[in-house]
Amino acid sequence: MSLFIFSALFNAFVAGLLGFVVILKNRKELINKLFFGLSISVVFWSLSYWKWLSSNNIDVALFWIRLLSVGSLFIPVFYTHWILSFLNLHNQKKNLIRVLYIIIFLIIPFSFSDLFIRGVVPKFIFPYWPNPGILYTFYLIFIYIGLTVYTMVILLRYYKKDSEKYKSIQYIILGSILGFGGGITNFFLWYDIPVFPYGNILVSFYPLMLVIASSKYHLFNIKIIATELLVFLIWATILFEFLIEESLKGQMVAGGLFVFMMVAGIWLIKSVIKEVRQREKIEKLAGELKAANEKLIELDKTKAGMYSFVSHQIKAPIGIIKGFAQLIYDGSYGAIPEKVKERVEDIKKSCDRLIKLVEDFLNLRKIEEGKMDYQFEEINIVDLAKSVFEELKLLAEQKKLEFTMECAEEKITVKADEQRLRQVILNLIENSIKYTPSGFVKVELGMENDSVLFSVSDSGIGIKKEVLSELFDQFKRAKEARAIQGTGLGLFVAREIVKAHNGEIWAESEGEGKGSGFYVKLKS
Amino acid sequence: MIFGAPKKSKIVIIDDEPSFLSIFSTALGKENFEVKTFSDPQEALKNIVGEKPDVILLDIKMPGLDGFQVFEYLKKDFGKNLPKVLFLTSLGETISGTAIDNHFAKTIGANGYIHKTDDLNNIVKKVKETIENQ
Repeated sequence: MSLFIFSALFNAFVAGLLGFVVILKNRKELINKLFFGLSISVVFWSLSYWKWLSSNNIDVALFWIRLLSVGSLFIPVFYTHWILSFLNLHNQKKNLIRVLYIIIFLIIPFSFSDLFIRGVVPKFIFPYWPNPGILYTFYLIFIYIGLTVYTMVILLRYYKKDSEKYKSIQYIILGSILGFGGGITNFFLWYDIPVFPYGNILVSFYPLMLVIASSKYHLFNIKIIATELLVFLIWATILFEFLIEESLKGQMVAGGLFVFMMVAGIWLIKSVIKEVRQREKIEKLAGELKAANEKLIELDKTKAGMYSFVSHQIKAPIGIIKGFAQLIYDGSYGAIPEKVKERVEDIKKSCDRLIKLVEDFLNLRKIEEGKMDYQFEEINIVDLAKSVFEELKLLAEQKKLEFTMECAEEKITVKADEQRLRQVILNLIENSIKYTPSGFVKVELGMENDSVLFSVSDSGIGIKKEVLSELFDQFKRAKEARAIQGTGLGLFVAREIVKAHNGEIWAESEGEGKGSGFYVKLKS
Repeated sequence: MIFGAPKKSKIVIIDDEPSFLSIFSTALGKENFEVKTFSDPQEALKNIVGEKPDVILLDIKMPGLDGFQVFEYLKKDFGKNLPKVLFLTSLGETISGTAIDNHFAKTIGANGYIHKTDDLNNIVKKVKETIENQ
């Protein structure tokens, strides 16, 4: 008997606690009001249940049974209404809801008549167990079982089609099975079927699962609710201790502890709320960040397409201007005066600078995107360096520089991307020629232990010590070098290419006006 | 001359941009090459076998048929007698993300590539080297 009394009190406690927590969270939301209604119905039913089983008088027992029945009338109706609201079917099914409440209010006056409960008699271990009236059977079949089946059908239908709420619906279905399964064990004895109400204890899972389901749907946060439940439980226990304590000393200890736990509990709840809110904020920010990132990827694609377009569309006309300028310069269209020749050469040089600029930017983009592609193969670096040297001879001669190349070997094989390595060698020699107003530019190539060492040294403007370490960074150019045309990207691109070859690149200089040396070391 | 004058090497250039055709044919013509140009790739494919070229300079980006499609037709039309083919590209140009370089050209069966913005002397030199490496 005490087990059934305990289960009634337990249900009342859990349902009451959940009901108050939920309604205090948000008093305006219909769904919270309905949950509160459901919880209060369960509390009403449970407390009446406790009083009925504890009574030792037939009239008192009958009185509490009749009150219990009022609570049990509301439970399935609030439950159905809550589920319809949760699935946003409140407006669609408002007539059904209205009819249900009307039926309940029509039955209530009869709950104190024989039409609902015919009286109480001893049944098995229970001294006062009721016999059902005709209205009670109507309630059991159409309200209790009928509404449970109806809501279950709706839940299953939405479980399949509502991808957003399907997890929450899982919890509601589980709660319904536990609550309905537990609750129905109460009815057998009414009809003299020897099944005891052992499932009663499961009734509290009913509101609990609804809370969990809602929290999954972010209506109330389960973490906060769990903390609040824990804190209330501690308060209740200490308060109970305080009330049953007989000695003043004991009361003072329990009272002090209660006050302390009151403060600590509120602090704990506030901390959890703060943490949950922060997490929600982070989740929101993460969502926004994701959207921004997707937008950036899209923009990046547009940018890549634009670069490709620019590459072709800009370089083609520059190539044409450069080609015609060179043919005019060479006298292919007839002899031209020396002054015109000089200006045509300027046009050609400007075209070269523009082409270099576009190439540097294209390479920079590829490096930044990690899309610089390399085709490594065995190549003779001596041939490569010689061909670049020959190509730049004319440029050095025009500046009247002593332009030499030293290489003791006929062939040095390295695994490299020929086109890219050529770009590095060309860039370094060209730079030396550019930044050397007079004197020499010397290209050297040779073996150093297991590595190939390529170097260009000159008697040019030199580099300040403090600039040396930053020389290979993007857009870094020595102040003195700014008088000479360039993008400041060439050395950065060269460094990235050498890095991809697992090599080293560095510069040396004794200082301003003392010339400089650029070195590339690659594994042979 | 008992044996007659040495035969001039014949170069066919296919490029949709007439200015490039004019520049390359002038530069190569000066070097004693016989040059034939086509600005329409369809037109080029109709006549090219009869031209018996030694080297074909083939632009990549062309409206209608691009350089790679033209190259596939050339391989079919010439069979075993396919002349040397050098692609004309802009540096940094890619085809489906693949850089057009020597490695790429050789992989598909061509002989190399020329950057259209390179110095004309270097372009002429490259054509000469390609012919010499018979």
